[in-house]
Amino acid sequence: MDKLIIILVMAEEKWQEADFLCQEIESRGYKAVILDMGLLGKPSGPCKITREEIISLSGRDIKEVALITDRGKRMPVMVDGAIQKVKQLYSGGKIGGIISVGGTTGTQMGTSIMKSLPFGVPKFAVSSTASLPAFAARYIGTADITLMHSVVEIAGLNSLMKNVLSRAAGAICGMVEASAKVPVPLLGESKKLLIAMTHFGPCEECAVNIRNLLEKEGYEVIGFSAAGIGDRAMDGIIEKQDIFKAVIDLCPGGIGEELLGFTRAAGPTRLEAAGKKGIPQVIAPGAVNWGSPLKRDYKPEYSLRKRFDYDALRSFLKLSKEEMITVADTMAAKLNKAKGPVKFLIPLGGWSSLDKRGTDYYEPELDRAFVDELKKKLRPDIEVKEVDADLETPEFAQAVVEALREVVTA
Amino acid sequence: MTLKKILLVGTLDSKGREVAYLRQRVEERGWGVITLDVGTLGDPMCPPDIPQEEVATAGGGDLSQMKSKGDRSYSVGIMTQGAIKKVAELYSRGELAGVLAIGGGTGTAIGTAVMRSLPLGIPKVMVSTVASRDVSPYVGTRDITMIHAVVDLVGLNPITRVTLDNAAGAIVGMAAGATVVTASRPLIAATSFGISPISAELARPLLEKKGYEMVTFHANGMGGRALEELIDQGLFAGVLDFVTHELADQLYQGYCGDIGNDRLVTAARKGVPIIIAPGGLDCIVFNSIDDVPDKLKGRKLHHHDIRVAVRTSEEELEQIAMTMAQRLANSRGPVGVLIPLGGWSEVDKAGADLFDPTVGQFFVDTLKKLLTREVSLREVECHISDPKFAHLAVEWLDEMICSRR
Repeated sequence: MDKLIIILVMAEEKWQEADFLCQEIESRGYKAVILDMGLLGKPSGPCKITREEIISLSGRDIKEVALITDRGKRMPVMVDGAIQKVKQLYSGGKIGGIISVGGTTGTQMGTSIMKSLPFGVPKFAVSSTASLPAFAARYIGTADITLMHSVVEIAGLNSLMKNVLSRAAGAICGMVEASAKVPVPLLGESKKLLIAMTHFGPCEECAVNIRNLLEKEGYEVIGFSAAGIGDRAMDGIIEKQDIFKAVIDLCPGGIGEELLGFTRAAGPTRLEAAGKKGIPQVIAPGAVNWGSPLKRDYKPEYSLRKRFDYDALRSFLKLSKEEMITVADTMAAKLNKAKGPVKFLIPLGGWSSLDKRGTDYYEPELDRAFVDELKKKLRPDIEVKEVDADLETPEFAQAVVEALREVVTA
Repeated sequence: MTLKKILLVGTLDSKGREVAYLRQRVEERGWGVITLDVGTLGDPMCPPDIPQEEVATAGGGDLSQMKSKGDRSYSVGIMTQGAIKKVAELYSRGELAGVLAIGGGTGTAIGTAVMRSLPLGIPKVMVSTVASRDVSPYVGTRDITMIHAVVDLVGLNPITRVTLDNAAGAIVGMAAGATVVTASRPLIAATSFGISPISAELARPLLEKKGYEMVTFHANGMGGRALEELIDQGLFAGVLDFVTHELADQLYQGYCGDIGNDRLVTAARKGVPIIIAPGGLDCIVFNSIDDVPDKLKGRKLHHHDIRVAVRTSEEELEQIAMTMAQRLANSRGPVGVLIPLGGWSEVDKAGADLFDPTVGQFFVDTLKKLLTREVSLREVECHISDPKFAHLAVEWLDEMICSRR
């Protein structure tokens, strides 16, 4: 393997660990180089890619940067410069993978740098703060970054630290070897037409039914988890790369979650990417009538709502009528801007496996409030089609596939 | 080595294709595989080595009943318990080289619960669609590696194949490395913290000179809990708990406040010699100025970055002293409390934002009254970051350890 594994580190603090990682990688037959993204002080040992080189690549004057004594203000300089370096190496075909070792600052910088590389290039962060609440989300975002919790503080090479770093070296080498074997295909040249689809646990049967039908028709379906990150990643890929023939937004719950400040919030621009690019889309309200606020944010009035305990970590609450109307209103406004064909399918017998007709959770009057508002606000050329079945039935999946056929040929 | 296998955990009714693909990829690399099915909804898409019935039974449930009952969270609980039992059997027979699991929200909850039941050092890789969220309930204090799947794991496609191949490469690469933590010298655990003192760093060379090796824990909430768990696993000959700051944050659910009720308890319970210092007890840290409760507004403040540190009061320190005394009482091993009178962090020293020696002295006096006889307290006329302090701490701990040999 002549490609390099880049080791990102603040060499004034954790050079020893990076050096050990470098040896562990090289003992497995791969080449590694240390990139110093250090902020203050001096590197504790030699680095193949020096901080001076990184600063000059950032476009800033080295003397001017030397005057910055605030760590926080040096961070963007080093991140910008390292991104330039990493991109240069990548476009020259020289990068096999990238790995960072750090605490909060080092992981924050390291993962920001990794995010500049495309999907599929192995990205690995060893971090002492991997498990702190909300940190993983910040480090990974929508990228394919692998995060390893070091458990112990990264401060000196003790036997626990060596064990952790040795496993990290094994993992990144294994990933580099794997990605050489199974590279990311140039998606535009993929033999099959690709469809993007959002997924969510309570709507899984529907997703499976749709996928089986589409595969028979020669499509390949790429699923994105509608947990607030995957669905955002889908919109990001749609916007940046032309790879999808159409989008089935089966579970667009992230819009309501965003409006209401719940945990699956998918950002303010969710549901807009496909419309902006003119890609055909079929929308369904999979579990849109459920919300997932944090338990500590529960308001007193939530005790009056229907609640479903999904597993030890997740509970869902039914949205109120007012909330359903607000969500319909926002979704209509987003879809009205679409440049391509759109169809909205409504299953009348419940919107997920949790609230099928016949269960306690089926509340058709609430679902109806959403549909009425949606019809009132959507552009007249966007069809809202009602299907007399629950979302998880084969009939509904069949209807989605038919709608897809229509929008694709429209 | 050749007898050991990689365990694959997943719900084979929904992720069977992915598990079969992973199995093939791991086997191609020369490793054996055991698949464990934690699905309860449908039939497995690929033949499992440990089938769902067996897992359910081990968890104290009955699969056919669970299927007809359809109570999801009950089934998840049973399968989690069952999987943990089956894995413990494999581990105790020495057959486990590593655990690789895949899943969405539920699969991640089960997979990581299984991983958390295993000791530090066994490779643990979780391919998850929910890796880029708050993973603290999943990873907790453990050495779990999370691979963000980006796309949903439903069927093999050009994107999921890349992710799964990476995962197979990662677990095999990890399993081929060292998996047993071996220490040639006795290990000492120490705590550190960003704005708190450099005592741990100063102690390191002193400990090394005496033939010990030091492992540092970042006392940020998770680190303190990890420390307690690894003391419990019997890894350490002694503990230098320089930074007890988490106890202050816990009073107001501050930045490092999520520590449960075991802090300081384990060493005392296990009889592991421990030195405790008040590092960082001078302040309560909050994520941002907006998180500071009204009650604390108007106190002395220090801006760290976006995080802010608020000065602790006599009342709060009295509460902390009570907690400390209570947790250290009935200790089975030697416990020493070492207090530097010149300040407890980088922001609590002469001239710094939070310096308040009167409040510090109040804490010392209160603690002296509360501590039981078997705990000794010593005062030192210097700042916590003074080399003298680290020196005294190391000497004292070494005496404790040597007198027990």
